[in-house]
Amino acid sequence: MNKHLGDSEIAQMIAGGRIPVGSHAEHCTQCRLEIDNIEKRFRNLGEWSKSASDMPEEFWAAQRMRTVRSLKTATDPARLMFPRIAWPAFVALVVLATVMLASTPSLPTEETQAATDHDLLVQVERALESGGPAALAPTSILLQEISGNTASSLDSRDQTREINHEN
Amino acid sequence: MVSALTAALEISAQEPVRTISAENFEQIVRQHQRRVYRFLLMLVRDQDTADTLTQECFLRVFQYRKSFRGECSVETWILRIAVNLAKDHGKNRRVSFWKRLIGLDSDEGISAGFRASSPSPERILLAREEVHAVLRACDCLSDQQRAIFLMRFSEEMQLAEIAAVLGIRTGSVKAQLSRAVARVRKLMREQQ
Repeated sequence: MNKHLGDSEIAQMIAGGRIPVGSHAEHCTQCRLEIDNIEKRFRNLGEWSKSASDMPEEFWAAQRMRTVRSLKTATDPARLMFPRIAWPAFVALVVLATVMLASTPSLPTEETQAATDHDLLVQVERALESGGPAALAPTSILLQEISGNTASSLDSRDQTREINHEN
Repeated sequence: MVSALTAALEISAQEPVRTISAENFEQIVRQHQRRVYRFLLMLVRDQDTADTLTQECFLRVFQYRKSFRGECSVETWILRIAVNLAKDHGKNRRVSFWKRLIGLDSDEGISAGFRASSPSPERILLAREEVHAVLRACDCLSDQQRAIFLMRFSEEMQLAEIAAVLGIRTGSVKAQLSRAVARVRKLMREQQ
């Protein structure tokens, strides 16, 4: 008579789900009992899972409702559109901000402002020293006219006085 | 009023669907939610988590429905998604293992399962102890071996069906199941 089945052989038979024809287990009651006993213990899992999932119909209905609700949320067009719109909008905003920053003239710093003021002051002084800038030409003409008018009016007054004296 | 029995009869009377669309989606959920929930409950051993993962599973079924090409049955495809979800969840189980070890997390799902319908208190106790022992041993298996073991003995699926769910060869399923059985037996002996 063959020796009893080892652990790995029993495991193979349980995994295969049947006792091969002509094998030792076919004739050995002890080995068959061992296989049956193990299978029975494992199949308790099935009994447990069936009883554990034996829920009232309300449970399944609620689960279906939650599933459909979460599906509606997940497939909401507004929610799906957001990422499609958000990224191009973000990129456009970044590009626009970059362009605006690049095109804006930089504000003069305090040092450059002071240097510009100083240069202007020097230019004004030079212009005054050299007889006035060209921009002041109309003013000088006006002054000349005023002084000319004053002189002519003085002359006409003198002539009037002379006439009166003669009379 | 619809009882669990009549609901089951209604479901069995419905034709199995071959395609997945928005129109028949609720029918698909109705047909497969019990099995998906039961299988996930075995894998995660927590009723709330199994419930959440079942919803997530059907959400993925709808989202990836276009990738279903009918090469296997809808049920096989759904169970494949469920296995992957349980695997992802299994990454967090490492933390749960430590919780259980220090007694923060009890096997409430298991107790609730046997409270639901078994009549005899002795039978409940014995079955609970046996299931506890097998499940504790299952915790030491790899994710794939655990899934194979539970599909075989809890769901009573054929090796070819398991192979289709996992996308591996039947021979590979048989080899892994054999190793899982040997390991579970060894661990159960050590527990005694």
